[in-house]
Amino acid sequence: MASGCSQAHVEPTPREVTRPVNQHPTRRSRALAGGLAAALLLVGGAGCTSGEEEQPETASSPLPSRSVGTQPTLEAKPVPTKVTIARVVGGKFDRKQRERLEKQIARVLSSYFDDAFLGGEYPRSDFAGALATFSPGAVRRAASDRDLLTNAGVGTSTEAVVARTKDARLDVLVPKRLVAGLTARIRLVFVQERADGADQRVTVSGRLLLNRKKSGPWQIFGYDLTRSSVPVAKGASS
Amino acid sequence: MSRADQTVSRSIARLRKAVPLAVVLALTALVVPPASVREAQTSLVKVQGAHNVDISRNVIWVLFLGSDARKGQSVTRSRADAIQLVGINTRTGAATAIGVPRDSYVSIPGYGRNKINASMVFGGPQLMARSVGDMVGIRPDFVFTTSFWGFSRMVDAIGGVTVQSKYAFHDPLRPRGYKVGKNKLNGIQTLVFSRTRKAFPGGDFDRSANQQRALVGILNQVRRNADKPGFMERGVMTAFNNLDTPNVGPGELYRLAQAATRINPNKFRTCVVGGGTGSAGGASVVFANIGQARSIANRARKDATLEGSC
Repeated sequence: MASGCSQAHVEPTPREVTRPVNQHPTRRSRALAGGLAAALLLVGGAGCTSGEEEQPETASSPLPSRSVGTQPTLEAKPVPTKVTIARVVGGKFDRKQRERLEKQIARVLSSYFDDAFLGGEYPRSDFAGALATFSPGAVRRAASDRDLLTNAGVGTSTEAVVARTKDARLDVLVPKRLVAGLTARIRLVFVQERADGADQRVTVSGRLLLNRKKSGPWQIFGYDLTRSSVPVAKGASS
Repeated sequence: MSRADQTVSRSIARLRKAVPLAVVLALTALVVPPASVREAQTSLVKVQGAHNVDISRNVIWVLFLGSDARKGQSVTRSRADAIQLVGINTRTGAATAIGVPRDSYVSIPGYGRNKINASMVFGGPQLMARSVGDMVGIRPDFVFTTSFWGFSRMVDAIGGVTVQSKYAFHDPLRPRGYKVGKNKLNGIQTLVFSRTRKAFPGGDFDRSANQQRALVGILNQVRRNADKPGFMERGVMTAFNNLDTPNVGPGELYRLAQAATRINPNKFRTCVVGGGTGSAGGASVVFANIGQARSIANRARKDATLEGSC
């Protein structure tokens, strides 16, 4: 089982947190402290093996446009999407295959997390492409669950979203040496900073079901998720 | 109640439990200065759930066949011992099972009148699907066939099942016997439960009803464990190794299995097609009530939901 540094990581794009610096002085200092801690963590973790997505983002990264273009934006500590294969059921799966699959799924999950929760500019009302990693049928079925599966329900009352944890453990079904499908047990934690100051620590966890059609992309065809939120106390480290 | 509803219900139940604790915490917060690092009202967790699986259609009909092939015989060219047509509505979580007595004397396309289970011998699962489709009026989308030992292995793979028995009866494979009510069974005991008929007054009809009780037991067991790490993958792998699934690849089987977890046991209706017994061609047969079979099918065809009685 891959663990620790051998997990596939997908580094976040800077769009994970977009916040005008002068909006909340207290939050600014909190974010700066977080950024400093993140920098230390990154230096400490520099020796870890990571996915190919860890290459620094270039200027062509899909950054959202910012309406406050003249104002600089603070970046919170980068939180990589950690994906680990927990178990393989069926055929054999060598280390190369495992690493490749972990990277592929990390990419899909990272896209979902960004599209649905972490990316874009808050306050945010456009969630049209939030389920781009879902299969067409799953998108249709998710219509009534959008407030749980995305931040659509809270987007306009949110000033910023700060990622805390992006993890997934995979149970992989491999009959006949090919992956037929897998369950990703995800845990996404982020802080939703609200205009009224009543920040929430949001956890989205549960199962995402994925498979692919022949050479097509991995898609999320099913979900069994819960979303919970607890208020973050003032003065607490969010 | 859908899975999402259940999750919400569980959440509400959790909230109910949490509220007294929250009150204590709230009171505590009034008298204790807030710590610098503390999350307020941690127990007041708002949890909402969502669950769904993409299957190309909302309603699918699956014909489950239990072959009575012995070791060395072709599973798909032996008589079908169990015949269950199950409609699943993956959107609402409803399901309807229509049990067909294996001795039903019907018209088999291209082979005249015979017991419906002879269709497997004549033309395999595909012909079986046509015969059942002609009799009931619904052509199944998928046909899954398993052997005695395959069925037993699959039940063992999910950790056994609990079935509700209408009758008490005995079998050497379960020394303590089968009692009226709940029985926790392993694979081979579930097989006996699904095959026994002479012990029951309704014979073939009661056996078909027991097969449906076994299906409900399997469903309950799968739903209870679906979120355990690796459970679904192991279950699908065992099914893949023990089911004849023509034209269904492992990926689609995985999706179907996940979709089956959407079935809400409270919305799972079961009916056995009735009829009278007699003889034809020197064999004991069932003259199935075709009108009843089609009435059930007509009512459940579109949404796998059966209102009213069987």
